[in-house]
Order: sequence, then C-alpha cells, then structure tokens
Amino acid sequence: MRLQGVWKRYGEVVALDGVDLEIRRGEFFSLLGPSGCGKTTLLRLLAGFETPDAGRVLIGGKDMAGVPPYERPVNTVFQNYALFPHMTVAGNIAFGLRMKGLPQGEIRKKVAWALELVDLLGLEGRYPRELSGGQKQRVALARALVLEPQVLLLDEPLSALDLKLRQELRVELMQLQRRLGTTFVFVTHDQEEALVMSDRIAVMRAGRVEQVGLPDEVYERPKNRFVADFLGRSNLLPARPHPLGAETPLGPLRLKSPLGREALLVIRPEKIRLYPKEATPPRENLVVAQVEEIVYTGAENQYYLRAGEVRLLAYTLNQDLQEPGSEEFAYGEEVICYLPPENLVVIHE
Amino acid sequence: MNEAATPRQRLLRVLVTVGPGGLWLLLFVLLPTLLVLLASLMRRGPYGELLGPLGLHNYLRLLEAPYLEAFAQSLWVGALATLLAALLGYPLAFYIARHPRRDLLLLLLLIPFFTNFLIRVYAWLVLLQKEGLLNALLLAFGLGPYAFYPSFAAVILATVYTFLPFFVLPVYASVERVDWQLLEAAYDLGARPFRAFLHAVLPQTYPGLFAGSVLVFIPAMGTFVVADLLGAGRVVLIGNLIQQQFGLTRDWPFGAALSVFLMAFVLLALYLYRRLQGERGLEDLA
Repeated sequence: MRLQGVWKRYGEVVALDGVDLEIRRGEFFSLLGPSGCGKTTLLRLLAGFETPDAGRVLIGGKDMAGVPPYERPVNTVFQNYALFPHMTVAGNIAFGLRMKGLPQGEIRKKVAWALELVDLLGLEGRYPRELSGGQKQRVALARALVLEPQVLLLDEPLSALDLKLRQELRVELMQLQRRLGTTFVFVTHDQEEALVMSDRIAVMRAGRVEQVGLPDEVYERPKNRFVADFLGRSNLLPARPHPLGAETPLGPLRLKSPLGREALLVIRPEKIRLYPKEATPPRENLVVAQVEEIVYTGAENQYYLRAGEVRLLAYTLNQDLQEPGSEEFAYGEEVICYLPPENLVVIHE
Repeated sequence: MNEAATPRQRLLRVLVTVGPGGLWLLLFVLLPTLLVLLASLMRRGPYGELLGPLGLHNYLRLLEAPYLEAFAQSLWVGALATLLAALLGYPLAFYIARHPRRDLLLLLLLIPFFTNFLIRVYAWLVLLQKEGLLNALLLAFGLGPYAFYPSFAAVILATVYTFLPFFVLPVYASVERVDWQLLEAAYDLGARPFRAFLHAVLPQTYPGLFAGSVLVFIPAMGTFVVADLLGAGRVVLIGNLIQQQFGLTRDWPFGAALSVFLMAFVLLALYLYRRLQGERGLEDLA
C-alpha cells in the first residue's frame, strides 16, 4: 500500500500536505498525531470516502483513483463503531457478506467463524443497544474482518473505552493481527497505544509525516523537536559546538561525537540518573539541581528539577532498592543529575 | 419530598399537578367520546331527537352497500394520498434537511398554513375549472379545455397538496437525526449506493415515515370539504357521510355510529402497525 505525494485541502485548510508513505503487507502500522494533523483524513482516503486533490493512492499495487469504497479491498472499524442499530450482532456481521451475494450457508459459516474470532459467541441475537462498549467494538471488528480485507483500517477504535478495557483490547488486537496476518492501519492520538501495538509508526503533524520508523526508533531517536515532544516527555537543550561535545545552558556536555553546528539535545526523563549530593557518580555530564516538584505515579517518581535557569524532568523507578537511580528525594533537596552521553540525542533543525 | 405529608396534603399535591390536565382530558376527550358512543346506540326520533332504547341497530346499518362503498373509497383515497405524499414528501424532506438554507425552505413549506384551508381548496377549484387558469394556459397551446374538475383526480390532488407538509415535517425530523456514518459503513462493507441507502438510511427514517403516513392517512380519509368541493358528489368519503348525518339528514345516532366505527378502525390500524414494528425490533426507533 502506497501513498505518493498526496494532497488534500478543505477550503483554505490543507489537511494533507504532500504525504508519501509505504505500508507493508501484514504490518501493524500506526498513524500517530494530535487532532487535526490529518491522520483521519489519510484513513478516509485509503477507505475511499475522500479523494486526494493531488497524488496517488495505491493498494496492493493498484491505483485507487476512481475506485469507490464498496469496491476497495479494505474495511474500516469506525471510531464510534457505526453498527446498524436495527440489525442484530449476526445481522451486522453478515451485512458485508450479503452485499457480496454469498449463499446463505456460507454466510452462516463465516459469521460463526467471526463471532468466535472476537469471542462473541452467544451474543449473535443481541441488538447493538444491548451491548457494552467493548462488545460493540468487537462486533465492529468482526463485521470488517469477516470480509477478509487486504487492509483493515482502524479509526481510533479504542478511544471511547475506559482505560482498563482499552489495555485489554490492545493486546487482543495485536494477537488478532498476528493471527490473521492482515495489514492493520491504526489511527490514534495516544502515543502509548502506538508504541505498544505497532510494527511501525508514522508521526504526523499539520498534514505532514514528520517521522516513520519502528517504535523504539521514533522514541529513542526522534528526528525533530515535535516528535521528541509528542511521543513521551523530553528535556530539550539548545546546544553549540564545544571541544568536549556541546556547549549548553547546563555547561559543556560530552556527546558520543562532538557537535558540528548548532543543534538541539534531547534526553528522555527516564534516562537522567539522579544521585544524592554526597554520592560519587561518574565524572562527566553532571549537573547539580534542586527538586522543585515531585509527582508520584505509582510505578515511578517524576522529579521536576531546576538547575540555574534550566528546568529538567527526571523519572526514577520505585524499586525500593538501595541502588543508584532508585533513591527518593525530598522537596528542595539538591541532587546530582547524570546525563549519559549515549542518551543525549542530537536534533538538527 | 416532605415525608411527613398527611394523606390530605398528598391528595392536594396530586390534584394540583395532575388535576388541570386530567380535568381537561375528562371534559374534552373522555366525556365527548362517551357521549358519541352513547348516541350511536340510540335511534333518531321524527324531529331528529335522540331516543331509546339502546341497541346495535346503527352498527348493522353500516354493513349496507352504500356505506361499505363509502368506506372502501375512503380507504382508497387515504391510501393513494398517503402514497403520493410519501413519493413527493420523502425526497423533499431529505432535500430540505441537507440544504444550507433549510430554515427558509421549512418556512416556505409552512406558508400555505397561513391561509385558511377552505380558501386554499377554493383556489384549486379556480385553477382547475373549465374556465380556470390551467385550461387557459393549455388553450394558449391549442389544447383542451379539459374537465379537470369535478373529478376523483382533483380530490386526490388537493388532498395531497393539503397534507403534504404533515408528511414532510416528521420525515424531516427523522432525517435531521440520521447518522450518516452508517451510510459510509455500508459503503465500506461493499454496499452499492442504492442498497446502502436502503439498509443504512431508510431504517433510520422509519419513525418519521410512520408518523407522516398516519398524519396524512387519517385526515385524508375523512376530509369531506375537499371531496365535496372538488369531487362535487362523485367522491363520497366516510367523512362526507358523517357530515350528512349530523347536517342534512339529522340522524345523529347513525352519524355517531359512523364516527365510532372510523375511530375504532384507526385505532386498530395503529395498534397493528405498532405490533408489526415491534416484532421487527424497531420499537425503540418509533
């Protein structure tokens, strides 16, 4: 599946600003970005509900220009499910098969297969209004998957569910995708969801694709400030060349390789190690900072630190172990921050 | 709520809240209906007065040929008018609901109601009569004149014209609430446009279709004014019969029996329709 130079505008608003993407057969591909970044428009272009103003959409090597949604080898799971309220669960699942004109017996067999696939056996006679949010979600999935599409498009399918259910369904979706080998294109604004589930992620902003890559690639080596900021939290430091590595507001810092020109240094909060003032940490890349705020999240402590004019964010795990990196600090306490050179990511803008 | 309310206080509360509405229903719905029912069981005196003893004789008269004929014709006029109103009104409701200036279009739809109903029926008479505007226009093209009036077609035309807004408005209300994403879902699942509409949109408008059909069918069966003026005696509806019994013939008991019969028929039809819908799992849409 490929998109080549796809443009789409609504009046004055450019929804997609020259998007090139390649989605591989059988992969779980996420489109991640804030609302209004064009990710849903992209999905609608793939489904055939919108046509690009310029550029080409290819699915399975075929140009989709002029191919209506009902003739495309893709199916969609809509954000609010869009189940037919006047049809039972079985009726909803059978709908696409009926439209294909399959014989009754085959429809019945396939519906049973799909019901089992999403673990809804026994609920086939219910109407959508008699189902919970999670069950509706499964019906929507079954209704699309029963048609055995080349590509399944999912438009924020988990966003309407509560956290616990969302986490369960994430795993189920991943298992389903692996079992069926169907290409999944998954739209989400939830970075955690994207990181957990995807084979590859495309981070989008304002109609453009900012970065495409494996989850750890996008997280560990963001290409620009936006990606660094949108995926998780980051400490950003403006930097100039320096014999040691880089000159920053925190003083000179050693990098894996010295900086050639001005850049931005990114370090994730969990990569900063904290030591008590009296400890003897490594010799380089140390910064003394004061604890301004502590946020306890259960699994980790988040320290809001201040070193001179610079604010830093550092996470430590709550391991209850007396080893470096898991001590607890108090408000106002001075701590030593160690910024490992290998975790300082350079962004050229 | 005050838990220490005495029975007297509770009675007062019920009277104050339910009282006015209940009194209204009692005086203007229940009592008149009972009076009509009572009258239908009596017989007509020499001067049109109501006399006993009570009996079902008026209802037996309903089975006589002219009355059955009038009833059949009423059904036919009602059904035909409803069908035509649906064919015209259903697409119109969609057009209005999807139009950027739907407020204006709705106003246009309602403007005829600012004029008296009788005057509007007379207007059709003027348009359709032999020396009327329509024939004048046709004559200019060397056609006609035709006797458009009085005729069955003229009655149907004016009936549809009169009740069309009653069909359009409830359908419009349904269309406004249509979830268009279901149409996309149907396309996505391989339905071509016509079938997608049939399966994804039409069912969502059933409540409006139902309300619209009832609102056209019931009055269309009994609108004696239109049948009188544009049918000129050729079209006799059950409404005309009732009017005759209470007017010309002064046989109130028989007129009452006709009324009760019509009412019972309509209620039965509504009941059956609801049952039918319920069995198809649509009860919560209606």
